[in-house]
Amino acid sequence: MTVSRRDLLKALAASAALRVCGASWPMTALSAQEQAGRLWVNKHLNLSQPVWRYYDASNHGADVVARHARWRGGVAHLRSILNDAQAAGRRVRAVGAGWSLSPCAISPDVMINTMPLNCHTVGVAPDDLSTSRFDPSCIVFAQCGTGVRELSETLEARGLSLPTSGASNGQTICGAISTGTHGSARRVGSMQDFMLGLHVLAEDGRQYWIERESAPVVSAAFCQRLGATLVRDDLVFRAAVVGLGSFGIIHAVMFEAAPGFLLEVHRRRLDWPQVAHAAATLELDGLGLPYRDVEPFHLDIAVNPYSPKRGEGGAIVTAMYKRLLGPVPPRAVSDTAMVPGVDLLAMSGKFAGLMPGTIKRGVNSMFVSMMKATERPPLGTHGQVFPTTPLIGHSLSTEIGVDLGDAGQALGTLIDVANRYPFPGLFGVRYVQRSDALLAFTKFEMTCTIEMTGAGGDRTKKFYNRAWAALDRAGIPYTQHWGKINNTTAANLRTRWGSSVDQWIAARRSLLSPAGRRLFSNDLLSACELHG
Amino acid sequence: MGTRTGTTRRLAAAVLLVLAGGCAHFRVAPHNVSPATVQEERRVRIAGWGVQEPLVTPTNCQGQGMATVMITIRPRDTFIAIFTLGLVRPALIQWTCAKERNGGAQ
Repeated sequence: MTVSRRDLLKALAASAALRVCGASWPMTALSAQEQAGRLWVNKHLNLSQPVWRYYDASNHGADVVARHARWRGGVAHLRSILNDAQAAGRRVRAVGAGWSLSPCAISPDVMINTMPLNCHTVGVAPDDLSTSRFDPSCIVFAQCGTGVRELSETLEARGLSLPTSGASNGQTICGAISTGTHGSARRVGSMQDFMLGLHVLAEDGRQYWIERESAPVVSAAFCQRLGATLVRDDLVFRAAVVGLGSFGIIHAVMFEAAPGFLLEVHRRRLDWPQVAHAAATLELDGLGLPYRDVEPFHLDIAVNPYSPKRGEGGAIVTAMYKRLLGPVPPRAVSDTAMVPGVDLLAMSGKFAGLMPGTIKRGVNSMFVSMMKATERPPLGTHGQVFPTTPLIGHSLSTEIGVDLGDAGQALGTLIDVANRYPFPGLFGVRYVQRSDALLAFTKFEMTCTIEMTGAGGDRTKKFYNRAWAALDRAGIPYTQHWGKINNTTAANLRTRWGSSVDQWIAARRSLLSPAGRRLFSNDLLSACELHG
Repeated sequence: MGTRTGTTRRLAAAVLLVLAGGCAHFRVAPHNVSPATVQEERRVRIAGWGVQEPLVTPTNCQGQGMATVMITIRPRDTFIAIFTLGLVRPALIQWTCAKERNGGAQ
């Protein structure tokens, strides 16, 4: 590759011309898409959407609000956006940190960035509650854009903790619950399972406080202060809490924080045949964990599908045990570190597509170095153990939920597919107890979730299609995580969620008018025929 | 022999294709600061061996400072810098704005 003399002269001439133009030239104008509307891109760079109107929601609205009630400004701003969108006949989607890999939070019409809405308070007045079942000092009221990391920091400073979270902390609280984000604390459930109430902004300026009839939380006075109509209905709550952004804009949530605790982290590299039985049954005797008679609070297994034999070290088992809150040894913090490159995943994906023969070797060598790369403190708070991931870039991920009884067959099927059609990625196996949210993908009594995460690219997408087809052929019932890549449509929705689908639709109809249902729908909802 | 040449060519093509997408990124991301916005970006250039430099002044952060800053130099940018003998040095600057602590309530 060479540069012609003409190109060189052009560059010099352009440079000289721009010098003459003065200081305005160094900054190139925004792209046309941003001028015309906005091109929204998600965190994992697998989705982009031109948007007619994109708003950064703000607590600093026109209303003058007291410092302790800044959230009122956010409510006013959201209602004004909703009014404008409804008047213009546009559909609206709230988006948090853009963590989802599925088009859950996407709309070509109006998208609202809720990240700036991060007011959260720990502790409510006793008269805010209608029950003495909860300790008011542990009740958290958090605006939708509050990040999981922010909540962990605030709670841990008060000796409290989130009961569970996903493996990393970048999501906003409402983004996390709306898609059914989970960890692997198998007796705790998913993030939506510790929610107590939702403050929802709907069409025509309506506001609702939604909570379970079977577990009422707030008082009438609280709803009055909020300006919301109290809706006490188990089905509506169970539908709206994993509502895919379709029950209105969830402005805030309420939940009970757990007493603070530490996690003692143990990680072992084992051969897959040693782990397979435990992975399929949760009988952990063969894993050689440190406390044989104590059930780990958290258990997850990373599986390298390309090292399935004895002697290949194809599984990393992580077990965490809950410990009383106490002093945590300070961790060394460096102001500069070498981390995986931003383009690493995209380049790996490209390379895998061009040279599929190298995938197994590449994944094997990465898996060998993984133990060191993911070393975590042996003892830490929840927020320290599930930290911010430094890995960014073009990645893909899909996740299925199967009944624990089907986990062995599902894992065997998926390992087989990966060995016949390798993709540049790994499996993550976790365990979550049943969620009562109607469309939660953790719907089985003990759901084994199998995440297949890989470098971005067509190879990985094609692998996902083959994996889903193989599970279908094998007749293994499974669900899919709403926030990850999935092929859930109207054709398979009822096979996966059964009668819960119609309950979800009925609950949405009972809350929203036809205009509201249109306002809070998007293409994903239409594809699943959940919009009507 | 022919097969080996073909494989070598494919490998070389693959490496070139992969590297062509590879950029140099330099990231700044303080601990305990969360982003409030999606990433904004400006493509900038230094001119005349540093006689003029770009000054990016984010207008979307509303006094909250930045959560992340990333400077990206693409292979094409390096190429331009070399072939203009440093007269023009392009780069891409991307940033996200920081959240206000607890919505300004505390």
